[in-house]
Amino acid sequence: MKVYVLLLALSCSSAWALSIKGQATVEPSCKGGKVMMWLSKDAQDFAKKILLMHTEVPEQGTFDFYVKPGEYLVVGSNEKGCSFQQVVRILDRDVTIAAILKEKKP
Amino acid sequence: MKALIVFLSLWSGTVLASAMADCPYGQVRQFYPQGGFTCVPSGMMYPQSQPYCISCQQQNPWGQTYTQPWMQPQLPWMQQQRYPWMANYQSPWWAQQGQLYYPNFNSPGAWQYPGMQQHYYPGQGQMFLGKPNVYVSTGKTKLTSFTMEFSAKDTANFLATTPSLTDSKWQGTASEDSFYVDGVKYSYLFYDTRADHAQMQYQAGWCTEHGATVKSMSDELKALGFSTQAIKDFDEHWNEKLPRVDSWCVYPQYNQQLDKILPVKLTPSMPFVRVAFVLVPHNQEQRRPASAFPQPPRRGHASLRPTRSADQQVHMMEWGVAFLASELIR
Repeated sequence: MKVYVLLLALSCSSAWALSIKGQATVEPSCKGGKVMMWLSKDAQDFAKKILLMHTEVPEQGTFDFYVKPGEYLVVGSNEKGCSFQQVVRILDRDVTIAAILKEKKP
Repeated sequence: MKALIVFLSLWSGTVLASAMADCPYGQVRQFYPQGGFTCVPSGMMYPQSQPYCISCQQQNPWGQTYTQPWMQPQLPWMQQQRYPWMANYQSPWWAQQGQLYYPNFNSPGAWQYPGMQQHYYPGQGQMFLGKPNVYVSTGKTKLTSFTMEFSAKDTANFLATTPSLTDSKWQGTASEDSFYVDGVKYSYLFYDTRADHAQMQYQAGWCTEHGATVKSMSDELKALGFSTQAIKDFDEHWNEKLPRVDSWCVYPQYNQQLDKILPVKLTPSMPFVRVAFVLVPHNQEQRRPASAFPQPPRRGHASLRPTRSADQQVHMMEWGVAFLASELIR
């Protein structure tokens, strides 16, 4: 049923904008500087990845991406190399995410 | 001899494997003179040109240095593209990261010559207005409250905003050259939007080669009185994000055009200078844009510029760059 709804949504959704809303926060060890939030269509094959938009957000700042229904990859990164990553599947309602940037673990 | 080649192959393969050993799955280790070894997605392990390359200009088994022929920059398709090994190490940190993770980083989004691939984005309108940044200057005054409201709520087609809009508006305070929204300091307000291209002007502007395009636009920002920081942000962003084509035609849009597609109400009322540059690839040989629409600019643009009285300290200014949908100009 979900698949059917997704297909239906995708087939008639040229004007349908849904929002991925978020706030960019960082762990204490990651503080200092702005955060870049990236929105892309992900793919196994690197060459097929498509960056759709990105926005620079201050720490604690908020952002909105407006998208068609589908699956997206939201990434946050900062100059210190801290990062956040979440796959967002958006179907028929807005999605809110908490983008918490953390240090990369070895 | 054959045995020696086999041995060398196995040995070099072992060395490469050990060099790649501690990168996460799907990534390989690559050397950059400025940054040492870095793990990059394996799909990016292309042969590279000197001096950033450890794999393209390499020695063959006979000790001769060679470059993979498909990587030679004089080939026409190479001039149309940018690849990770072309990374500019003077780039800001976010551009270096973006180049590592997104093959289309050096374009304004889902770009395919000669314009944007509109099916990736929601909403209507065949013009993609990228990164309008809104700057404030309050001089010595502090604005205890400001509201910037997009009046055409029903027809606006936002693609991204920072900070989030509440009921199509931003509210907060402003001081000197910063906004404060929900207690967070923003050096500028940002949005991406789709809009109706037909409301723009295509008579005035200029055409210029790729390398001079960003400077020609930032010169226009200077003429309009944008702050040094706003111009620096513009240069930094568009030097990275302008797709590589031989030359561009630039059609500047000002308040007269932009207020039609995205009217804004500012409270308190204050001067608001707006400019957005519509960029269309220019076919130099035929001396026209990449398609029959639009025609190359036929006149200068100075008369279109909005003016701002120098004695009005508190004001806002907005710059943006727009691209048309591929389907419109192909």
